[in-house]
Amino acid sequence: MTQAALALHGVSAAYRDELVLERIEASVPAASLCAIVGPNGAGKSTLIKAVLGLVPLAAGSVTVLGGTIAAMRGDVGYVPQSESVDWEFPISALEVVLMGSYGRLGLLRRAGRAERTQAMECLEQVGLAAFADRQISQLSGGQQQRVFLARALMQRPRLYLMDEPFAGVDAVTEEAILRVLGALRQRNCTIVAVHHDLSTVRDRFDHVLLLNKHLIAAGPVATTFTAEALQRTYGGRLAIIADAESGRTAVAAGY
Amino acid sequence: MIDSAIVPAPWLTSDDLWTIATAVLASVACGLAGCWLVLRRLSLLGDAISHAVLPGIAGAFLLTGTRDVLPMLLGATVIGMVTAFMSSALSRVGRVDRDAAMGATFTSLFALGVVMMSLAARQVDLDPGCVLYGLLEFVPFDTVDLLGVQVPRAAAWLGAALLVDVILMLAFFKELRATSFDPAHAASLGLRVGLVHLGLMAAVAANTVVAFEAVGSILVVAMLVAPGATARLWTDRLVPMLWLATAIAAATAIVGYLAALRLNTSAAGMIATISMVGYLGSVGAVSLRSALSAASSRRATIPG
Repeated sequence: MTQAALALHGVSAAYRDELVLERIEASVPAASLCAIVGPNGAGKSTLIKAVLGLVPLAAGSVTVLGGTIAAMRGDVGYVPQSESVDWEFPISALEVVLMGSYGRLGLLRRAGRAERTQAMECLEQVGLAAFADRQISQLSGGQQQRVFLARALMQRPRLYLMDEPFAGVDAVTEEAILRVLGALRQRNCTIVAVHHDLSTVRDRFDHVLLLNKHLIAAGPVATTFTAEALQRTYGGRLAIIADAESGRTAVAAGY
Repeated sequence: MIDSAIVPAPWLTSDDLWTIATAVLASVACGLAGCWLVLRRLSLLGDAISHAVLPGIAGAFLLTGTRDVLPMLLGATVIGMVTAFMSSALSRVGRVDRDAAMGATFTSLFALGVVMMSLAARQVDLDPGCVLYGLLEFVPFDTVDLLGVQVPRAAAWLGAALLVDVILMLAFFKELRATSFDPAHAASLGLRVGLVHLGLMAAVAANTVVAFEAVGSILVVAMLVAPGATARLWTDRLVPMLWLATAIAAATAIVGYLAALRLNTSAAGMIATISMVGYLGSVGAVSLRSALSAASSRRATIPG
């Protein structure tokens, strides 16, 4: 058994005095593609922020790639929700991607020619090389999401934490993100992503954390992502239509 | 008074030139720091800090009994950071909007400052009106000896403030940009988001204090926000925005002073008015431009 890429030991976290995560105990194996699934307000984004140290832990601890987050920062890439920033900010796509190198550059050093070349390669990987000099407000929502992914690639991390990378994106973007995630898998990177679309969990991920303030279940998709576990995660807000012939589960979540 | 042999325009005295130089330095120093407030959508915080530094200035007066710049600078910078801290704490604990928390913080600190100011005025020669509106016209009468040249004290301090601003901005450009654009991601990289914010607030407070003597604490607000906001309208790039804001700040100060001279009115008031005219004019021009380009592209796509 290889070392876990991410291990949560009794993690609790609060948002405005209200406990949104309670004693989460789970681990994500290295080189896996892990979805965090749960209803709105289940604490999915908070969990990612807690791992990154952006939200203080009320209790418990987190092990990332065998160390503390403070020690492993350079190896952990964060792809936040694209709505989290001001896209009117006067900056080009390439300049956003360059920010992925800011952690390793350290104080008083600037991104140079080597970084710019690498940033162009990252934009190319997400299919946006032609948009490098575009001001970011001129990009579509899907392109903005891909710029964020390119910024994480620029960091060259071993663990990617993504907050709804597929939310509201177009087909081209979806395809591009899936292609990149596949390539990252090949390089033994671990990907943990908050995911909303229950119907695509089986196709895109191999590991899943079912979350609703408490951890409902965690494990391989094949054995963990069951109708019964989903029912427990979403409570009464879920209609499940089992398709006996394909053996698949089509689900519709009510929010 | 300063005597100088070279005066390029006969209708301007060397005092006028020094005053213009002081106004330009104040405007550019505040304008550059203010660009970051505009980018962070924190323009109101500039307003808050420039009002809230008043008790810091008055406190320094009361404690030292002099009008030395250094104690005032320290007092005001501390209060400036208190403002930034208090308003964010108030919005967190009090569960009110950030704007409301800022408003509550700076009006109460400003009121405290006015009370302290009138107390201080009994001890030192200090005019509360001068603190609020500034007395740009009196800048040349208070000089210091700088390498054998008599330089207005305000200009020397503002020059030093601008130099420090530029050095800090060059040294921490990537940190400023990353934490302004996406603070959560910057923090995930290990950048000290809180420290950068505090540093920026300290810089805004320090610039405000150095400039308040020349332009007054109220009109500093125009100098903080107008150049950045106007420059932002014309460009989608950060570095050009900073250059443009510098040019706008300098031009506003020069035009404002000359207009005040011609109309025989308050220079600080005129500079603020000119900066508002520049901003509103830019809003109009940029909207007109985008309306025209939208119309021409519509014409291009409609056949016939």
